[in-house]
Amino acid sequence: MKAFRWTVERAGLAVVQDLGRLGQAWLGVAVNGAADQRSARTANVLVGNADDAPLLEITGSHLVVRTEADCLVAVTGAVPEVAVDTCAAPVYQPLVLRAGSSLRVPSPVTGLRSYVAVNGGIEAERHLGSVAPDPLLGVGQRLAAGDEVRVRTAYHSSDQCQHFPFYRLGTSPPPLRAQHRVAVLPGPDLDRMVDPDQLFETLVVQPKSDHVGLRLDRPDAVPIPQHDATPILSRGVPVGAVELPGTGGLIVLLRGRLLTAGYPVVAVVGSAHLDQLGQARPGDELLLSLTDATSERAAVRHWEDAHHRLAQRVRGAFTTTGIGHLVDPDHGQRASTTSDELG
Amino acid sequence: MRRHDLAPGIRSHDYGDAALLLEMVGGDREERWIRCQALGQALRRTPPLGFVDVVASIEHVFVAFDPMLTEPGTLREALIGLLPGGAPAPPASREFTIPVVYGGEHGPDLDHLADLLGLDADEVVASHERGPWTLRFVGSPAGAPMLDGPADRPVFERSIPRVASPRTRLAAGSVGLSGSQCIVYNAASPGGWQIIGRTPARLFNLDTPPHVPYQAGDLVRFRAVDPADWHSWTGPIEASAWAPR
Repeated sequence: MKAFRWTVERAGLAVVQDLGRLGQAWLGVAVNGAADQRSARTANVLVGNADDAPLLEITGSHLVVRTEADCLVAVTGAVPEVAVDTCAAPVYQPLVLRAGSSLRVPSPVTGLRSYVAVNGGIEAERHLGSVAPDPLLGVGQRLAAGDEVRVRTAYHSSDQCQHFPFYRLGTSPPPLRAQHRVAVLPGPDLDRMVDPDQLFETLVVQPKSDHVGLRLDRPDAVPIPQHDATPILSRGVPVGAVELPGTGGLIVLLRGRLLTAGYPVVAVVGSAHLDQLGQARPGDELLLSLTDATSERAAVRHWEDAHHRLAQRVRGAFTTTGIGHLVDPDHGQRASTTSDELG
Repeated sequence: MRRHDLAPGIRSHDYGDAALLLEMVGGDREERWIRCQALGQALRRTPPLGFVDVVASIEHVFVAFDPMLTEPGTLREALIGLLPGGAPAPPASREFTIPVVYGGEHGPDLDHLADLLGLDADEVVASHERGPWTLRFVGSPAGAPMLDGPADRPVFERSIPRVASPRTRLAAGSVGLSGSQCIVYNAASPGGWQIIGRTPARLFNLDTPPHVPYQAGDLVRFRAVDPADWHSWTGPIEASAWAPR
């Protein structure tokens, strides 16, 4: 493994990120981590890392980094292409960055977040087992122009894959749109709604949305009447809980939230549809539709199977081209935790 | 939403496709809370396959699971296996005292709340100091103590409303009241509760386990300190006694 640095030349909202802190809810710590978990996991698989290796998450802005050493990277998420120095380069494929070259990830037009993974991973401070930013804990590394990002890699300049696009790994970005169809299951407090059909009207993402919650307004802003207005006692909520704040809109709680805000939970986004929410921009429309747990589990399994097959293709391609040593033992899954915090 | 009776007094609701919400019913509120905490502890000690996380609060236990590794029926069976044979014992408790600077810039809602309750600000402070407050669970943000009084003897006679406009950023250490509950916001965060003071004490330690000195079942009192002495009180707090329950 060699240690080296990337210099940040331009950055908007870019952070060092991973899949988050699991198993800390008993301590009052929310999971946080990549808003689009699937794109983050795919970026890591494409460079031979474990799914939860630290990488960069860029939100609604562009990023330019320059590497001082040869490395293998992949970019996934919202942008249709990137640039290495002045040459256009594909997303969703591993790319070689030669020492001294720059990677430019443009601002997305559709969708919101992009992920940059490097073989070996980004080095950053871990707290409670994760590098994920958490403003409540006061942790996280946000990039600014002039910063240096520490990187470790097993990639060596004499490794074979000198040209790109070198691989055809059969990955392509999932289609991104400005209208999101989001499957939900009924929530424990759905019966508080006098007219549950109001849940399925067109919703618009508001600018006040952040990693804690997506704020959704309804264009006609008619209040949503409830049978019962008593606040809900504090209790745990899942990522994707849809709450009724009583203002006429809805809040979809995301990875930065652990307990209810006191509002009824009328629906829960299916786990196969959560990562779409990480790509919803202010102004985008959301349409909720009812699903059931069986269909949702089938959708999760479908994606996990495809992810597993992608990991196999990456291993096969790397091995064939003499860079099999780059593949992490936990490639295609989360690394087993070394933190003694969990369990 | 799918609902099952797990056992007498425990209902399980499917909560999305990757979580269950268990609701304790029957008995009095104190018993329901004790059963929540006992189940939460049991889950953390012996996590079933596919278990991801648990939040045991006052009347509910939220359980997150990995839908690739388990499913609600299997998990419910495992949960039944974790239920104690008889009535669980209340959690062992210690006593903590949290220093607070009340009112002024640190407690912007104290005077308004006193008016609402028909009390002097000093009376509100005295009641709050005395409690007694039981730590019901460790919550958010950052290991915040979630407190309330005994079920039959709330600390304040009236249920305390939230503020009209939730604040986007409360100072870390802010002491808030809502309903019959009290919270200490261990980190700067948004909040809608009535803020009557602020503690200089550092309750959450990010890098050193167990991260907070207290746990569910502990007794908490507060103690008014002078704002001029703020810097004398900025360390961690320690248990002052073991309290028989």
